Amino acid sequence: MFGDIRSPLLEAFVKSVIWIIPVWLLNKYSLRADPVIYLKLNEKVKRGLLWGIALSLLLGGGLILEAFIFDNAAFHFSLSFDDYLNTFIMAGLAEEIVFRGLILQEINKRMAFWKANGITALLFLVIHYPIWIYNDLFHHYGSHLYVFCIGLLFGYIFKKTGSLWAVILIHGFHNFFLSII
Amino acid sequence: MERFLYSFVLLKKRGEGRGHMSVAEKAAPLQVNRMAVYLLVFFFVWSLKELWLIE
Repeated sequence: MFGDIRSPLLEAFVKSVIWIIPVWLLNKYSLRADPVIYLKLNEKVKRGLLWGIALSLLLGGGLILEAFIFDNAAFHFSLSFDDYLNTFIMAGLAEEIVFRGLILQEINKRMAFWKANGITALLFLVIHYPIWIYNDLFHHYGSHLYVFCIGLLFGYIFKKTGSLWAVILIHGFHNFFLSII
Repeated sequence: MERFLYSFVLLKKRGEGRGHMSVAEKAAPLQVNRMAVYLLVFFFVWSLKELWLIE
């Protein structure tokens, strides 16, 4: 069903090493904070999960409605193990730990929330550039605006819910809905 | 200013201050140079991986 799983597992391992582990080490040894508490992974968990699921459904509904009604798109559910592991789970987890968990919170210590959120969303956009350049998608300029706005939205949801789980869920489901459309 | 903020944080940590602060707010900010080095290394390594090492 899932085909070769070695390559997706290696990809997930590499992503963990580059994205999650440095944040964990910075928390423990530089900020001298418990990473789980600092990243708001054990705070308001139920609230975060509930908001995450509710907003994911809302976002997914909007994306599906737009694709189905306006673009007459078909859905394809034949997703690979790589899609499940790296596009839904690892992307949401790793990217939210780095961008909202560490970068947004750190910048927000030095400036107002919306400035910090804007800078974080810009950095979140820039981290997508290498893969867009590699896949020759850089000239799709609408994607730049879209990813920037999604970054702003995730930052705002993180602030309002006070839980990283909300944005991890929404990020994962967002990628899932984009994959099936 | 930074010393004042840091002592304020320590007061909060000992429970002598008022109000609630999250752990991220309590912790002293990451030094600017450490944050800059982290961001540069992170963006460089990930770009390298995405541009040259993926199949």
